[in-house]
Amino acid sequence: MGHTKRFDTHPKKWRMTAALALDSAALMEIMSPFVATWLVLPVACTANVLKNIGFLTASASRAALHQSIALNNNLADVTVKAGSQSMAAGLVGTALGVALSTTVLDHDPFNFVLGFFVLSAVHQGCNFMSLRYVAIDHLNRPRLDLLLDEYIKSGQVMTPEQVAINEPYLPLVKDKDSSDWLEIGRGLDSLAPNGPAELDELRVCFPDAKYLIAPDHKGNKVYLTFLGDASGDDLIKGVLHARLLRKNRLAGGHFDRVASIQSSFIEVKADFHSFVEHLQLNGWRTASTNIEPSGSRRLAIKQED
Amino acid sequence: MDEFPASDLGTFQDIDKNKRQTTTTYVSDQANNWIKRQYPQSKIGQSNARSYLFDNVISHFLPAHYPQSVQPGYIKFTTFCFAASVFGSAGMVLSTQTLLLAVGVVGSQQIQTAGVLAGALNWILKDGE
Repeated sequence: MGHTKRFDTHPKKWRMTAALALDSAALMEIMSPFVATWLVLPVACTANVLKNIGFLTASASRAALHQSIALNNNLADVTVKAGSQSMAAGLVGTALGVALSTTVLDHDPFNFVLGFFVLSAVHQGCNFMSLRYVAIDHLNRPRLDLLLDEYIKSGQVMTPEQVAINEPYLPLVKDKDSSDWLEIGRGLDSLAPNGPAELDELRVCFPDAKYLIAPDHKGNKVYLTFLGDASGDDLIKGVLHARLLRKNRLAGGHFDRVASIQSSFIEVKADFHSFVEHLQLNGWRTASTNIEPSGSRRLAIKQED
Repeated sequence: MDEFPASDLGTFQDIDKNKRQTTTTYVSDQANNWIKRQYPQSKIGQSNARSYLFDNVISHFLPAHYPQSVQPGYIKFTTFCFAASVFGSAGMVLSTQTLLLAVGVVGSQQIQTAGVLAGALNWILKDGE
């Protein structure tokens, strides 16, 4: 899986990263009068590189956000109006900056640092607040985990607007999703470390499912790898199965790998359809689910006669 | 001819030929024909200045068929984005100004003009933002 898929699966996180990159570049430029003379040009060049990274990331993630906002196939209209709004904002902001530097900050580089910190804090805060109100209706890993947590706890499925307010999207911070115990897309050496016989054991459990699931031998992890033709609903089924498997394991007692996979699969068959129905009734589009991290693999099983 | 309110088809918003908002009602006369009546709409509770501002300034910044063609959270998203861009641009003007000072384009005697220079440069360099 390519690494740039992340702009579609986590657009809010990357929008915030872009704003952070732009402000870091501006911070480097603000500090440039205080460094040694020979360092000024390298600092300015690094700041320029960061600015370009920031603008490109912002434009890519803004495209993904606009795609969620536009409801009537009017992506171009929303984009052009957003462009005009940002031009107007740029004019107002430039005027504000010149006015501030002439009157309040009095052209002193030390005052500029203070003024810049205030402006940058407001910039990041407004950016964060703006992203709370974009309701994205396809599933990624943090959103799916949030929905599953709520569903298993109370049987309710949240709407995209409610999830938009609650989902985690801070930049540079690892999301609080299931990635500490669920690894998606690992190879056969994680699924069946003891050889092909173990793989046959896992395979026999459920010949129709589009994924292979295996609990870890020693620790508490669950490995989940999808087969080549798994689609949106199959991904959700796999994650639900992994959750139930983990719940069985944490319940204590004797843990038999194969038996627990089979028993949790029976539970999955009972719960899965009602969960997907609830999702679709609340406005989620499950066909374009994307929960595999970049660099993950899929398996293909060929029958040889 | 008499108007029979009970046989209204319904009232709805429409635009008349002078491009003004009207309330349009269809009533039937005694010969069972539909007559169209248009009344200019008075926006009760909204001062003329505010609706004037909306119609002529703000509506150009919003997408076509504004409330129906976008998600409900759109106006909050764009307001906060606008505010974020304003403060971001102001910060970038300050940083460009100090960069010019540090690089030495502007000597420290000419600090007054560096502000205006930074503003103009920022505006010119903003391509594809």
